[in-house]
Amino acid sequence: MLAYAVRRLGSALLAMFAVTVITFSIIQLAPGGPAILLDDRLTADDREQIRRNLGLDQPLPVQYYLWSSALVQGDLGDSYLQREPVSDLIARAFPNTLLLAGVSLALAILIGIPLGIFAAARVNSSWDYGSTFFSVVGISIPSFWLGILMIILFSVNLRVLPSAGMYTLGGDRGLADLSTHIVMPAIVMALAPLATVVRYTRSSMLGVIRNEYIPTARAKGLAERVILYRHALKNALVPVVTVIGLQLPVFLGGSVIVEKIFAWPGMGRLAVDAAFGRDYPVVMGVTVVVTLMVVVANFLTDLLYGFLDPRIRWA
Amino acid sequence: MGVAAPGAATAPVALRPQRASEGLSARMWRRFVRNRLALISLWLLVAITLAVAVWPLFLGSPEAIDTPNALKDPTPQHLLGTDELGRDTLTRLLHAGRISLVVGFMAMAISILVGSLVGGIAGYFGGTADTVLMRITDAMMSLPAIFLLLVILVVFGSGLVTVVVVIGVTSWMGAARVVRAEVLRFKNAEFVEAARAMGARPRRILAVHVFPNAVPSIIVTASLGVARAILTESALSYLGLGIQAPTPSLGNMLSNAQTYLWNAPLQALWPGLLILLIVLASNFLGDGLRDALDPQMA
Repeated sequence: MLAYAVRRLGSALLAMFAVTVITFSIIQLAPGGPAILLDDRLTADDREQIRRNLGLDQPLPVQYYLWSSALVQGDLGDSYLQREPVSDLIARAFPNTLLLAGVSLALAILIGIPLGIFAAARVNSSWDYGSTFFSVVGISIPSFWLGILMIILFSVNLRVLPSAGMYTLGGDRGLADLSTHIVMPAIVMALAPLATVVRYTRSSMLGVIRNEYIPTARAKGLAERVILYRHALKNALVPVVTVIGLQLPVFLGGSVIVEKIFAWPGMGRLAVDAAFGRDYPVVMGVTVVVTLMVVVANFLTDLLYGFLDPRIRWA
Repeated sequence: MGVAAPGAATAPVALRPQRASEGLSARMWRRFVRNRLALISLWLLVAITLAVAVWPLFLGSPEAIDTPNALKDPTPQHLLGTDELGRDTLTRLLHAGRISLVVGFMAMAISILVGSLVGGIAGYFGGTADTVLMRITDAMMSLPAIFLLLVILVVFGSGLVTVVVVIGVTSWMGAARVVRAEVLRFKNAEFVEAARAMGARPRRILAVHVFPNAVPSIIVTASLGVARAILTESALSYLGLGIQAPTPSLGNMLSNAQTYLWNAPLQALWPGLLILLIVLASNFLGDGLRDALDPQMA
């Protein structure tokens, strides 16, 4: 188990390194540098001064070294546009994204797994076809369109849910207010991963049911319900765990779109706004933090998978 | 991802002796045709492609502005109404559909090309090359590509070509895995051994002997890849980082429409519906092809 963990940790660190180098290089290739330098009112001397202050006059490997050694100490630099450390901006946005992603993940698991089992238990019935059809629709529907349709229905026509933000302006910022704001973004964000969880749970259950110990259990005269839930489900859920772990990038990627639709003040919106303003330290910071989260989650998923299924460790 | 599509039962086919002489592709085609959903999807895609290719020839410019008639509901002159500048929504929708299909197919072509190279090399040579390439593939697969796309599009500016290239080079991982698996399956087959014994070089073996056998699996990946690429393009354009106004794209039409939801909610309906139809059809087509090519997975 230890060797397996070390191997996994190694590839996790490698992925981190690769992503920071790639992001850093792309940004250094940017024509014109940060948008701040494009201001017409600046003289050549001003530009030079700003460059020096931002450390842009150093050679690239030096810049990468300075940037990454600061990074290790939790220093992501200052935003070009907002006079604030990037880590502060991220610290404000991060919990909001985590909350949204957490609620969506819970929805995807709590609805997706039972639906997948249900479909597998009635394989080739119209329920089964219905859930298969639903899961293909779920991965095909553009999230921003679904979000807009929900806004039309619930905000414009029915006027029951707010269309944007996390809290009502001037409101009490209470739990009830937050709940009404999170309903639509969470549903939109959950749909694609939900569809994936249904597909995997169903096919995993069907795969397990073919194993010899299922007819054995049946031959012992056990009730179908016991066979399904006690014998089949336990093994069927092992690969589903991995799939859920692999959904994390989908969630974080989805946050970019969902947070834009519903003006949710999280990491995705921070990244998009910074991208438009060519505020590179913020873009870099968000990318690095998101990557770190994904890498850590994948590592934990791998460990969990290795723990649940001993065969993996020796592969 | 194996999901049985309705009507994909295949066992009787192999049992009929008079069909034994039938070619592999004919058998696949018959299995495919039996899957009604996939067949409908195929015709739908053909119809949409024809519509966006031909219909705009009979319509005006998608950028013709007519402000007095802004945000109108459907009328005989404007079958789907008009947008905030009075531009005809149907015309813009068809032009946008064109762009989406072009982006979808070209990005898919790039991703298949890169994926085939990576997967082919990894699978054929094995060892260190395989380990390194597949580690990179895994790493890229597990990262949310959209953040990388944001960075690249902001730095290099967005236009049709940039969008196609960045979507292509960030979505080849699935193809790489599929091609690698196929190469591993065939590289020690007897006909490949024979080719090697006759002195064929790796490039020829891969191109002439191994790759043609991988084509069915690649077609499945490609069909699903088109769907993914179209979704990504429309998402980027929705964010304002993809196809730029005034050129219409399904994504930027939607993001415009969102501003006027309270006045003209219908304008937000059409672009999304077209995206959904194209993507849904490509996905059903891909699933249907998979079931037709590999009945074991159904």
